[in-house]
Amino acid sequence: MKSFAIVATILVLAPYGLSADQPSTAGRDVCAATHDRIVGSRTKDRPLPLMSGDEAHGFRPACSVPWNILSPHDEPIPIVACFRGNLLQIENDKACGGGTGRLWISVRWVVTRAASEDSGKVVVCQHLDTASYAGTRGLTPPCVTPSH
Amino acid sequence: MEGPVHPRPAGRGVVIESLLLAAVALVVLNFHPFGAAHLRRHFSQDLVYAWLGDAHWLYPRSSSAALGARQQPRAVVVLVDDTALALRGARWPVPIVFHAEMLAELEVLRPRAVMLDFLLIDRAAPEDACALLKTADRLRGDGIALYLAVARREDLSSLEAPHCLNDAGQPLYPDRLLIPVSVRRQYDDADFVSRRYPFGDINDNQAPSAGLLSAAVRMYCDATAARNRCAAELAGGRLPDAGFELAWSPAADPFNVRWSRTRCKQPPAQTRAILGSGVLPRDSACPPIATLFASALLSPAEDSGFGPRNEQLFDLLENSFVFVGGDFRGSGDLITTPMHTQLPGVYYHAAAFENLVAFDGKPKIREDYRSFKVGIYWYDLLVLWALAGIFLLRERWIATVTLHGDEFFTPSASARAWLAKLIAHTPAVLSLTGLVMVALMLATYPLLQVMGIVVAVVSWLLLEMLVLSRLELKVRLRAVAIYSAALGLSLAVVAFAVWFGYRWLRLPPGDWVGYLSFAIVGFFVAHGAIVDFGRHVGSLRAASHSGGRG
Repeated sequence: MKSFAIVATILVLAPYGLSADQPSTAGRDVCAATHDRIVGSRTKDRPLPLMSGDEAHGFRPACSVPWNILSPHDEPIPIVACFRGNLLQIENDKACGGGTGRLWISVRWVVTRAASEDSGKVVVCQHLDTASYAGTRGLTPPCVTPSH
Repeated sequence: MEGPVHPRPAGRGVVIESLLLAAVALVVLNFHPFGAAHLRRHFSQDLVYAWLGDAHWLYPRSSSAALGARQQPRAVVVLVDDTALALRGARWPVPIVFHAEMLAELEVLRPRAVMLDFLLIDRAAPEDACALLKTADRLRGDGIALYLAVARREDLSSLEAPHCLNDAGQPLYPDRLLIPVSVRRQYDDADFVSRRYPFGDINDNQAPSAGLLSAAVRMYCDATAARNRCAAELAGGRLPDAGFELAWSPAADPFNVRWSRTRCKQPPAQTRAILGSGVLPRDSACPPIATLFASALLSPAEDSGFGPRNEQLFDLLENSFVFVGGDFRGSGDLITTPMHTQLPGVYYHAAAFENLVAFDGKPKIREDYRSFKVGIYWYDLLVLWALAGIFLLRERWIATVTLHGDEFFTPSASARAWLAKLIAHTPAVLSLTGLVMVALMLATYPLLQVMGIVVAVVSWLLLEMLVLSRLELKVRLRAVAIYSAALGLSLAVVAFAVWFGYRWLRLPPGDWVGYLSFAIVGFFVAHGAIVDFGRHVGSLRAASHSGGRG
C-alpha cells in the first residue's frame, strides 16, 4: 500500500517536475553541424557587422557591409573557420579595406547550409529574356530548365 | 441602556470640531520623531503597486500590451553575462572591444538609443578606444544615440584615442560621440530598497543642462521635442538629492517567459490579490522589463526561437531604448526593489525610463522634494477635514436614532447582562483557563485569528438577536445602515482624494493606506481626545464669558 502511494505520488507530480527546469532554448550549433557555407543574410537587408581579429588577440568590429558586397553574385560564401559556434570566418579580407585579415561574421545574422544538403538536388529555373536565369537564391546545384 | 450622553456638535460646531479632528489626524499621519512615518509610507506604496501595479489606471506602461500593438517607446534590457563574454573569448571585467562588438551587433536591429551601464573609467588602449569610437560614429550616422554611464563628466577622457579617424578621415572624440549620463542610485535609508530615482547629479548653482542628468531622465528628454524644457521641468530647481518615485509592476514582461527558469505567472486579479494573497508584497521572480540576454543575441545556439529571419529580435529591439548592463556573479551591481529581492542594477534605469514614458514625463514625486511643500499638506488637511466632517455627522445621525446614547457598535446592555450571568455561573478556574487557552491558540496560529474574529462577530449578532426587543433591534439596524452609508461616503472621498492626488498632484501612493485606515478606524481613536479637548475649550470660554459679565 505504501509503495503504491509513493508510485502514485511520483506519477502525479512527474509532469510538474519535468516542466520545472527544462532548458529554455535548444539551438543548433552551426560549427558542430559542419555547415560550411553562408547562403544569405538575416538582417532585414541591413548591413552585416563584420569583425576582425582572432582568438588570441580578441575580436573587434571592422565595418558593416551589405550582403551583396560580400557576395556580389548572391553565391554561397565558404566558411573557413568557426569560433565557439557563434562567429564564422570567411575568406574575404578586403570588404572593410585592407589590413583586417580574414573577416568574421556572427552566425546570428546569416543563413548557413551544409554542402551535403544540396547533393543530388536540382534547382528549377527559368530562362529570362534578359539572357540571364532566375532561380532560387544562393543555391549552387545545377540549374535545370523545364523542358516544356 | 443607561450611559453618558456625549454632546453632539451641530452646524458650525461640526465644522470647527471636524477641522480640529482633521488637524490632529494630519499630525498623527505625519508624526515621525524617529523617522517611522517613512516606513508606513513605504509600506503603503509597496502594497498599492504589489496589488494594483499591473492596472493601467495606476501604471499605464505599454509593455503589458501585446508586441506590435505598442504606442509608447519601449525599454529593453540587454544583459551581458559570463556566457556572453565566453562566446567572444572575453572575460570579466568586460573589455572595451566587447562593448564595441555588442554595439555593432545591436546596430543591425536599429534601436532608437543605447545606454551602456558600465563605468569605463580605466584608461583604454588607444586601438580599443578607437574601435568603440568608430562604432559609436556609425551608430550616430544611423541616428542611434549612445549614452555612457559615468561618475563624472571628465570620465570620458579615458576613452580618448589620438589619431582615431572615421571612414571619412575625420577625427573621433568621445565627448562628441558619447552622451555621458549619471547612474547614481538612491536607496531608502530604512530598508535599502530603491524606490526613488534621482533626476541627476546637479549642484544647487547649476542649470539642469549643465549638470549630469540621470540616464533615464536624459534619454527621455532627448526623445522629446523640447529637450531643455523637459530637463528643466524635471530636474530644475530641486534639491540635490531629489528624485521621483518609481512605480513597479508585479507582472513580468511577456517576452521574459521565453527564458525564465521560474514560472512567470501573471499576478492574480486585483480583488483576489487583496483578499487571498496576504497583505505583504510578494517577491516576483520575473523582471517587468523585456530582457534579452547578450548570449542569445550573439548565438542562435543560446536561443534559436527568434524566427528564421530574426523577426522577433527586430520586433523587440527596433526603435526601442536599449539598456545594456551586466549580470556577473560577485560584481555587486544589484538593486532591491519593492518586488524583487535582487535585480541587476541596469533595471533601475530601464524602470525609471518606463515610468517617465508611462506618466508622460510627469512622474510621481514625494512632498519632501516639492518646491511648494506646504501646499501638499494643505491638500491633505482638506481631505482629512472632509473625512472628519463625515465622521462627526455620522456620530450625530446615529445619536438621533439610538436610545439613551447607546453606542450601536458595543454590546447592548441586555447582551452584557446575559454575558455577565453566563460568566457568573461558570467556575472562575474554568473561565480563566478557557480564556488563557484561547489567547494562546490565537497567538500561535494566525489562521485562528481570522476565524476567531468571524466567530466572535457572528456570536455577538446572534446574541443580540436573541436578547434585544424588536424596537431595540430596529434602532440598531438603522444605526448600522447609517454607519455603512457614512463609511461608503468616506471611502468615496478617499478614492477621489487619491485619484486627484495621484493624477493631478503627482503624489505617490504613500498615504493611501493612511487615508483608508483613518476613514475606517482612525477617527474613533482620535475622536475621544478631540471631544474632551473641545469640551474643555468650551468650558473655559463659558467660564471667561460668565466671569467677564460678573
